[in-house]
Amino acid sequence: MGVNEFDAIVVGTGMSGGWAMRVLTEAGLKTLALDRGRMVEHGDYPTEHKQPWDMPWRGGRVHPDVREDYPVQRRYQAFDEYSRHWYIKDTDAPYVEDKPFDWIQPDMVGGKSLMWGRQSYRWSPVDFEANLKDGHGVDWPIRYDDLAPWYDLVERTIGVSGSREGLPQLPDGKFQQPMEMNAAEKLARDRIESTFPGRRVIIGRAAVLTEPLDGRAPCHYCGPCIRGCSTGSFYSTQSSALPAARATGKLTLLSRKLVHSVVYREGRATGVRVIDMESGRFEEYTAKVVFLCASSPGTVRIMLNSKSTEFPEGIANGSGILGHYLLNHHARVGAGGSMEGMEDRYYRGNRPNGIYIPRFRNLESDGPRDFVRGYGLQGGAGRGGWSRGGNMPGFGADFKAGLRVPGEWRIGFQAYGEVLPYFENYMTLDDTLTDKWGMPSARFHVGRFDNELAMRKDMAATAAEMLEAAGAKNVNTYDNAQVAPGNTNHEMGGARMGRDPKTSVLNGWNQCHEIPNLFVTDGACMTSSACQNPSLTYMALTARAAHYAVDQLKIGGLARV
Amino acid sequence: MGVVLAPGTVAAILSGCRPELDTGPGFLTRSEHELVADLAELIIPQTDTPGAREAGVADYIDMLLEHFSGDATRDEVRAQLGELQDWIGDHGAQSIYELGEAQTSRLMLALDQQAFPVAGLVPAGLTGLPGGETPLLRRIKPWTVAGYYTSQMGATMELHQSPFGAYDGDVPMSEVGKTWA
Ligand SMILES: Cc1cc2nc3c(=O)[nH]c(=O)nc-3n(C[C@H](O)[C@H](O)[C@H](O)COP(=O)(O)OP(=O)(O)OC[C@H]3O[C@@H](n4cnc5c(N)ncnc54)[C@H](O)[C@@H]3O)c2cc1C
Repeated sequence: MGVNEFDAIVVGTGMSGGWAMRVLTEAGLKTLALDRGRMVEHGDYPTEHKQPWDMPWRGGRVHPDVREDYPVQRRYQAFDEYSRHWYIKDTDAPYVEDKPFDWIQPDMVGGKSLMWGRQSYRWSPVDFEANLKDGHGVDWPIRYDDLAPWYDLVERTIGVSGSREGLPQLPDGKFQQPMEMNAAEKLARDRIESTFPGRRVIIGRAAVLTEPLDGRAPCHYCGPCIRGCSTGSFYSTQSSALPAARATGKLTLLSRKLVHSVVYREGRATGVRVIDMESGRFEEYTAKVVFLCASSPGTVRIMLNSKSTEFPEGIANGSGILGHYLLNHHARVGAGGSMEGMEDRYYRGNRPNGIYIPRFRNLESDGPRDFVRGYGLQGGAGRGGWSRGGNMPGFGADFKAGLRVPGEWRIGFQAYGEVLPYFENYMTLDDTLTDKWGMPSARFHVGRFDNELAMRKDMAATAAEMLEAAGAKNVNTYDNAQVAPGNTNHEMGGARMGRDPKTSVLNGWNQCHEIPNLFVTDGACMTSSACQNPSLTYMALTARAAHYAVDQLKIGGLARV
Repeated sequence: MGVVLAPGTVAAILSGCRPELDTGPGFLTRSEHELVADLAELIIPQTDTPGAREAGVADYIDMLLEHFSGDATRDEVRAQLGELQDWIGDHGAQSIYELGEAQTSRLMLALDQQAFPVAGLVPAGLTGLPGGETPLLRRIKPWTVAGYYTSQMGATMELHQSPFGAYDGDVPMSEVGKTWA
């Protein structure tokens, strides 16, 4: 094999790319992983455990001179001085918004696996059957049972803490010990569950260890995982997939390589064209199988940019739907309130996890409503800290003494809702705008429609009614509908799976209908969005597809159609 | 190196005429910085733990003004500090503390009530206080609170930080003692 020849190429090293490189290298394939981001080694976390007074600007807002370069990333609430180095510089990688769309993007090896909120929920049979049942979107080519063993594998490997609940709409997984709820959360749970028999309040299922796993230590509860975790207590490419892939001796990982397009010859993907981001020069790498894992819009951008005589509108785009049916979750709607009493209760440690109310709408026991599908609510309770002082009357020794004691308990829920697949939600490449390296920029056309808007009313109302049932006072609802799609970070779709090559890009193995050795296993493959945080599902789909590809390679099955 | 100002010049400086020697390292002049440090200390005074002055809160506020505030905010805060200094001068003092304890707390209560009104608490008879669209303490108070509790003194001496190790979701308050920083 030449230096640029590999068995497999994986584009992107985030949540899905990490799994692809792990499975492919462990199967003995000589694998090249490419990422446009800079290299970050495990432990290379410059703000981990830093105190506010260690930071030039006290760990708060990003300096305006720097913020200027991040007009999109700064729309995300968690973009701050501690985490700014993870986000892409928008001025280097601009894109066009026909309608507002917040594309929050990483700029390092590991991708958003270093930034994620770690909430990890399985999809259920209901989710894989939804399109078929209510007619929105095409039918998924797979069912829950196809994915269940892969969820098992992923959970055991990455480590997910959680409680077993026996819920059909949110199947249990292979969990480590669950984290504990605090006093107010337990009280709220008891009251909500007794008032609303179909609803459950559970501790979040999080890819944060509560038990040791493969040399990774359990969480030490410092709190802000996004700054990086050198004990490897939360799952990231760096803490788990990368060391596993490297240990095989089969991995070549190259950073600062912008994948420009997939090279197509005679029915097959023969490799990728890459821009070396230091020299600006084009390079070509070849392989027997290519996995695209550059995140949903990132992958679709590469595919649309891969033009050939046979595929003038983007590779594997015979259906003409590549870039369409973009999905995300809609959120920033919910309610908050205060809980009286429990002044003698507090907690110790910063739990990087919240509580969760699994979907209860439009299931067998509920509905139909004036919208289809459903939503889950993520929340938590805690006692007021010092910051309440900034908004309080008073001054002097009494004021100071008052803040030495924690404030009242506050509790809140934010809903995350399913977004239906719409042809009208799509991305293309812009005709003129490119990134700093000359690759055409994405152009987004994504909106929300009646189903989401009707659902939002219900989300705010149920959040409030559950808080009332929990005994909360001063309950306020909010609906920040002005926050653009994308801001929930759960971008999906654009190259959906399906049974029919005329209406989908990928088959049930995440394999392009038209190009058997080209796989797409990141969020781009999603046929519907469900309402659960999606990364666990991307990982399970990736593991499944990569095993399939390995098996097919052995029997020569990825040859041309 | 501190610059000693002759009595009487402070008010003049703060009302607009600012000779070179009063410039500070950030946005605030040295005399404005002093006034802010006094205000911050009155909000979070030294008790059994350090107060806002010792914790360097005025420097923090100066940093916010220099790097994070727009011109409108800066102009308003500067004007308000000038008006406050004038008010202090009109009442025969150089600094807030020189007003004497009773007058100082009446002044602070009035400023606090401008910003965070509570029915029935506004002290009567104080006129000529700093005006503006956003009352002075609407800004200075949250800045003071953030500056203090994100300082090492505020976070580790006045409050304490949750130790690394286990998570315990339900602990008696008496075992913890005070707010986690
Ligand atoms: C703050 C935050 C909180 C989140 N919380 C959760 C949560 O609680 N639960 C959950 O399930 N999900 C969560 N997510 C979403 C989660 O991070 C994503 O679903 C997941 O990372 C997507 O995986 P991916 O492999 O598709 O993409 P990524 O992890 O983004 O990886 C894509 C990689 O591809 C690279 N790339 C892109 N384009 C190119 C190119 N042209 N050439 C070369 N490389 C390229 C990128 O640099 C990146 O490294 C969160 C995200 C954020 C930002």
